[in-house]
Amino acid sequence: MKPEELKYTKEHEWIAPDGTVGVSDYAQKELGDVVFVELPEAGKALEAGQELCVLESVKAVSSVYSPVSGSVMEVNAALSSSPELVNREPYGSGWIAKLKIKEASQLESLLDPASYQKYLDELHPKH
Amino acid sequence: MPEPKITALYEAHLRLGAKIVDFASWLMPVQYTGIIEEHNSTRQSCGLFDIGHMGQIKTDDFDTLQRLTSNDLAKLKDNRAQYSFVLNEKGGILDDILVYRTGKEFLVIANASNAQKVFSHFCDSSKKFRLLYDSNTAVAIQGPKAASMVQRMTKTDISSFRHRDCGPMELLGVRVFASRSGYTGEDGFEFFFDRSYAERLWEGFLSEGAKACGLGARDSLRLEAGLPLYGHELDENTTPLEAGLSFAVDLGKSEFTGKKALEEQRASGINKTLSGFEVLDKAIARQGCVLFSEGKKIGSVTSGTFSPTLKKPLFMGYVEPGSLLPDGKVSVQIRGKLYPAKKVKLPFYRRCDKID
Repeated sequence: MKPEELKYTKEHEWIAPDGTVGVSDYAQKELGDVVFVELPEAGKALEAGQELCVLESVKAVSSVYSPVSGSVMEVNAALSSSPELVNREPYGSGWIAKLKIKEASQLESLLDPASYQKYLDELHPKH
Repeated sequence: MPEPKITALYEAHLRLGAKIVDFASWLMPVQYTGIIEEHNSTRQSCGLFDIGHMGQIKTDDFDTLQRLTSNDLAKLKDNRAQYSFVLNEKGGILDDILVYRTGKEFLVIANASNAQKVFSHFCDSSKKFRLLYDSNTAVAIQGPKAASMVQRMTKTDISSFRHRDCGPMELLGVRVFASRSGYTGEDGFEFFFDRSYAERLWEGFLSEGAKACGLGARDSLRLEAGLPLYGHELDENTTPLEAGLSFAVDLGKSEFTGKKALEEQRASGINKTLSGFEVLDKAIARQGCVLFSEGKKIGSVTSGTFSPTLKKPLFMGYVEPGSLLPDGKVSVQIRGKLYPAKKVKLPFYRRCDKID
């Protein structure tokens, strides 16, 4: 995935036009070393904002929320044995799940890369 | 909320790109490059820690310190360290401390979260206590290569320092108070010194090859080593007997705060006991998670993490005495779901080259 072609949430998830979901580079850095990923079940239906999966780092646990409404078509099973992919390639092999998007229009309400960057800058004015 | 404080090494942490968190009102590095990498560096080589947030309290008031702590100060020899407790009347733990003795002087190391409380507690009984935050700071150097690194930086023969020995040392030309001790389960030293030398010593260790480690690694290292952390395993409603730390309580010594309550508890029995567990699944139990045995609640988790050394999720927690099945199997509730876990012996990790 190319970060500039994705849409983002304020909770630091990204979603591609094909429904692939992951967490942003900022999120993986904030989380630190991911050691477990509690993946969703394929077929699970979710509303936008519902918990999609859980990431456990050494220090803390963190929820990943579904950016849009839809159902889980596929999960990244590689994360079961290699959770560190979330840190290593958050926009690549560290993807979490692929959703069947219910309403494509929901994508429009998410942040584009420039707005997400601006949001990050506001979160950390010093950086 | 009080204004957050910074240690003498705050700028050094920022230069290293540390992620900073508020810990007990101190702005401290939680990690620099990653908790697992920092953790492993300490286990395999040498980790460097800013411990300037720990409270350093000095006194020469033997009688007051003896009366307000659980271990027997009379048994603490010159240039040695002693683990001890400051207790309330109920035997609950106000803080767990290390006491260093040099001649008639005592240096008490208190937890950052408790330093002010403990200092005030001492001051209620005596005017001869001083809290040294404004003048002093401290660093710890830990790991199998820590001792050889320290030796390269001092003319003092460090083989004369056994575990828990302490005394003055000149390190890179800086006069420090050195102690062969730590909070990681590894061999290593802790150094206490004038805060104006903080950067010089910190940079000195880094250029010798030490890896800067944050509070994240400090926590996972101490947890593997089965060491308690105040606010998790220890608090004002927990006694040293319940925490399995009665070695630091000397009921044979004269009166001290909390003694009566501990004597009563020793006679009547404890209500909870600290144990170590391993989760037999891919989930991490955190503080507050409830433990069950045969469907009955038997206790709760005090600390849990993924162990980078043993590569599995571990936790410590309190259970009712006698509530565990012979096989030590329990269930732990994580996010509403029950996961299997089993009791394992503490410490989870013990280094093989133990010095003494």
